[in-house]
Amino acid sequence: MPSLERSENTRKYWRSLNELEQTPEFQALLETEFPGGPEQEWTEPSRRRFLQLMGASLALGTASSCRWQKEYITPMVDRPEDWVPGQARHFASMMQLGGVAQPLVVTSYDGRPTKVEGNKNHPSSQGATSVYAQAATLELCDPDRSQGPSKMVDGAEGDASWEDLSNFVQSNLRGTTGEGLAVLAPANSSPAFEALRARFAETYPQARFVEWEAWSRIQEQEGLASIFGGAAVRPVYQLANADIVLTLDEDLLGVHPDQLRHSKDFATRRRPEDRTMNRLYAVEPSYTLTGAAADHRLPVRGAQIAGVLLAIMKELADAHGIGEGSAPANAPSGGIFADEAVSKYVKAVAADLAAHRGSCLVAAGPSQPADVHAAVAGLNAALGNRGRTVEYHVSTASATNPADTAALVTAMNAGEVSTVVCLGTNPVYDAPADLAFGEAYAKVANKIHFGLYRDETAVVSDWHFNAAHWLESWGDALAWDGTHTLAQPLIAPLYGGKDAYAFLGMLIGRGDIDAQAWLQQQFGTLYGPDELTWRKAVQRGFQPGTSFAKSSETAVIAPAPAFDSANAAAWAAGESLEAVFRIDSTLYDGRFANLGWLQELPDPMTKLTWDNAAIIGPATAEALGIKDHDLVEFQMDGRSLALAVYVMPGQAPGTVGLPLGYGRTECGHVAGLNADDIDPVGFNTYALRTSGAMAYGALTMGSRQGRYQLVSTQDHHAIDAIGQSGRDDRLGDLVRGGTLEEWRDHPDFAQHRVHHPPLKSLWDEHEYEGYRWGMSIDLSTCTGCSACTIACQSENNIPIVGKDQVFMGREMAWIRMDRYFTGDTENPEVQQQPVGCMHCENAPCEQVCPVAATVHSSEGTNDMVYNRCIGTRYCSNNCPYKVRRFNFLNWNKDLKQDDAEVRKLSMNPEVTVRVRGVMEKCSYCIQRISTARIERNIKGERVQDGDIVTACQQVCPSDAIHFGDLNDQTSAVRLKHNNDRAYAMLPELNNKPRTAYLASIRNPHPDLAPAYEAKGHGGHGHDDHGDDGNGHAEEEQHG
Amino acid sequence: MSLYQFPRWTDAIRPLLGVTALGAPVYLVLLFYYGASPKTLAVGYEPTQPVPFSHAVHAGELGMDCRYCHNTVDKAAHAAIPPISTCLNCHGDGEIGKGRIHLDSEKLDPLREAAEGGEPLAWVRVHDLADYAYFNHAAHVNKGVSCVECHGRVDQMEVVRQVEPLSMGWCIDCHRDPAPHLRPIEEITNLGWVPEDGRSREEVGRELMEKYNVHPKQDCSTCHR
Repeated sequence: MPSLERSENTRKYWRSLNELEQTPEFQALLETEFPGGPEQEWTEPSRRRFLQLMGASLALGTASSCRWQKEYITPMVDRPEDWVPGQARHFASMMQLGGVAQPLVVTSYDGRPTKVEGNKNHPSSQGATSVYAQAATLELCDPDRSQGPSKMVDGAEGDASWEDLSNFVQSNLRGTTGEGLAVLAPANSSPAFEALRARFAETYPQARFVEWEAWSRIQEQEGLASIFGGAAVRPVYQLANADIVLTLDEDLLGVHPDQLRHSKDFATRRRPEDRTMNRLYAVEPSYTLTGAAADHRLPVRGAQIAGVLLAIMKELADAHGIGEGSAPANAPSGGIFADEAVSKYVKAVAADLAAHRGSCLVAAGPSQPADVHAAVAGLNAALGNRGRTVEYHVSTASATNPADTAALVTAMNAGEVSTVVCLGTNPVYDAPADLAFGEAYAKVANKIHFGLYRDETAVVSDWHFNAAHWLESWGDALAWDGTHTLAQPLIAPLYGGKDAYAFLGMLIGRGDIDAQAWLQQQFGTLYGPDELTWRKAVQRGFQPGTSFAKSSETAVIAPAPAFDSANAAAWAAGESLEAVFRIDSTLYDGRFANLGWLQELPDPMTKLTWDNAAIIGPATAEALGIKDHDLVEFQMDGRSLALAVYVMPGQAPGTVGLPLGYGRTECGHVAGLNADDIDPVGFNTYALRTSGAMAYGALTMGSRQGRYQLVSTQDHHAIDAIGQSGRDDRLGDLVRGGTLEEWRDHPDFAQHRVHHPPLKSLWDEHEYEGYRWGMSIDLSTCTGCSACTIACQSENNIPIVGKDQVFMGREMAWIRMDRYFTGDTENPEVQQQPVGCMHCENAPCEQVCPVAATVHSSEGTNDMVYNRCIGTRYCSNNCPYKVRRFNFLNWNKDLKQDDAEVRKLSMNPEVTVRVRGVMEKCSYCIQRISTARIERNIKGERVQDGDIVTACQQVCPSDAIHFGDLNDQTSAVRLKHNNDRAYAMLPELNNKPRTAYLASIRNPHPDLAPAYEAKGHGGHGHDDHGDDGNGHAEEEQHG
Repeated sequence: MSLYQFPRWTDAIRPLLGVTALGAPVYLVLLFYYGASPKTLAVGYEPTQPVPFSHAVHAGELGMDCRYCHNTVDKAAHAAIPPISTCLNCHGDGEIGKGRIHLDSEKLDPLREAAEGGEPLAWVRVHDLADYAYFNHAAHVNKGVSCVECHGRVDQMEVVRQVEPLSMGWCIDCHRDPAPHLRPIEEITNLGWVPEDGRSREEVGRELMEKYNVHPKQDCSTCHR
């Protein structure tokens, strides 16, 4: 009998096209422990230099003093009563992104914020956060932040002070009507700021106050306004109630402002044992997280989406009698609509929607034109979804209209504007290219910039004033559902920056506006002047019950959207391409570009780090004759830009995905800084984006201009398999998934994917009388958003290494998000899988460490002892999961420099900062375990389920991660381990990993998926299957 | 020719060479073992502090409880050094404290200056663990490990000095056999405590281990994170 037998139900999974085709590049990656070959290629220092240094440091070490550095303790002069030095405290706060509040709770040690987490009491986060919020502590402590006001005098930068601003306002603005004054501010839903803005309008009635955001949902607002009687309404989705979800290029689980709540709700319908599963259809050109989570994704061009909607509306009207009044006379025909795959898709969607009236949902994305949004709202009404899966709320925070900025540019060009204040915006970088904002800006006499960084706009302004970070300031804003959310400062401004309230106050000549007092006063006018109400709201982080009112508009009927039948044609080589602009999943619109954590975080879909690229589907790339890493010039509306090409499965034919936010020239030492000759990271795709093509546009390919090395982590840490022939289904073992039907027929199918002989351990097994820590990860709900990776980075002081080092496979992130494809390269299914240390019972790493630097603890964790590690890397070599990370260089050496005091502030004091030559890996957040254990132990109690929440678990928006005591039979993690879907990764090695994965279940439409054939699962004889949650594999046998 | 020869008396050194060859490695090993051990390097460390605060007077003669000043010791990882306002409770005549004790003492000048200027005093850390070791005071104090076990008879010290090596081996010794180091929690700051009715520390400790559920862990991750 062969040692390993696989069930025939396994699918074929692959991580990249290189792997699918088994190219020599992939083979090379597989054979080396770290790609790029650090063994052959020592970048710094050379071996000889290393020996010299060794000799010198030995001599120095002997000669230097015998005691280590003298340390001082400086207690406060007067310590507040509840202040315990060295004890973490937590404060509710908020970050505003694109005018929408992200409710947070910030951990503070001795007055410095070190970690950001979600506010679990807030209705729109429920404890989770996005990657953007996680990186805030790094942003606060970024040494590249602007550190004071400055002034440009004859092209050279000179010092300035805040008084200069008061003087300027006094001499130029006070007493005027504001004629010629314009303020360009980012979207801000703060009611207190709105009140101040009203004061501004009173003071300067003729001044312009314009909002600018590079990414706006204006088309959604306009489309809905057209059928909601002109009111600004906002759809608030209830995914927990939706059995069928259809998204039209809407990234509900990714970059949508309400992503966290969506993910939580969506997850409740992806655990088949809890509730009936939902089914998600995604129609989109570029892969989004929503598309990756979809049961059926249809890759079409952005301009074809309206056609798909028409076809669905027509089918619903004709076959199911729904929305007959709005349905088009004719469904689009020809082109892609003649394709059987598309017509089957349309029929399946329509049938599903019709069968789930009142419990389905259609959602359109911000890239779609207004009439699509109107039609979608009409369709939802016709399907009876309103009030069940979607509610339309009258929003007081309207979306940013880019036309306002265009009008301002026209005025600037006409010489009507004499003073422009960029109040936290960076339009020189991110305004549409056709506006030529920089040129118009140069014509303005007084240019004032206020911002966190000395960015592209700051360097061409006459004055720059530094802003305070949100962690340094008071503030308020509205969440997506309208909940009034408050921010409180965690630390005094590091560089004396001011917040937007104080700055706008200075502009109206009120230098005395203090954000806290102003906020409290405005809060009082809304909810009464009671001090206790205010204090409670600050403590809680929001004022409950303040969500937007529901729209009372009843007659919601929309006409069918316009669709140019010329767009129906399938793309053919030689035709122009469609550009698809996207805000970046890690850098947003570019504002987070200088945050190394986010630059190094692989994009959840492409796995590219430190770059963006022109993302092209495999067939399109072949037709165009271009390959990965080709540097190709693209032209759009007379503008051109050379971009590296990245071939990405699932990108719609004829489209080019263009993530925004890269190519910063004036940002910092991470993202690019002209002044210090730091090259920009990635390509500035704003150079191609115009007012007429904010989301989609026609693009042509020019000449090839050589090669550009992109770095993607997708084949890094590939887990090898025994022999080439076993490779394909082997990947199916690591990540296991099946369909709902398969699960119903055979709930523990995942445990039967691999069968192996009974496992006998060489060693006596540990007995655990006390705690036995373990983790579970539910692949069915994980969307791959990668927030866990950044949360881990922030919690555990994990360094970043830079593009060159990532190329060599030296990235340090403890959690890697493996993204697997399965199926057709043009439209694959995606499965995400976070992989960290499994804390194996029989850990292979422990057996090979010559110095016992990695050992098993009495509670079952696999401890890594940094101060013992001598860096042999045997453990990493022996780890089958490839989760160990080695400090090849001293990534933290700059912390020892004199000017690094600010950077040190973001470090978590509960975790050792590692040096060169030391191995590290996931510790199951051992610091959190210790803290909880000590707290309970002091009271003489046992740790309760829920006391310990690991950083990754805390941040996870889809509740995919559970952690706790496996010995506690009622703990959440124990129940997950007992779940039928639970399986262990590579169980046949008898490592007995403590992290269990729960197999992913998809819910395909029977007409769109190959029929499932029930297979018997008896006859395994004495075989043993994968899961051994309780550590006794031999006991579990099947006959 | 004799110019190039060693003088005859050098022959006497030859046997010594053998002794040196054998002795040098032993000497070096011993030198590093004892010379570099925390017992040699750390025990007896007695830096001068910015204010000549006498624990012997305060904790010894006056009998103040350790936790009057180090009030977080049973609640948190750190046994906080008290803020100046705590000192001023007795030595101040201002808003914070009105104890008016030794108001004219020059030794207290740094204290008053700090209080007036708002600048904290920089005390020199005596008991300095490696940064990768995470010690928690509350976890020990609440289980019957008295201050004296690590810090010695501070109530008899004019100037605080280190009396124990605070090395890992020393920590582990107690984690392996905590019984002789435990005392009733009520007596935790009574540094001179001895068991009543002549029982041995060992014997009392065994009982307390049961009572307080003391099972010290010896995992690396207990102290290293």
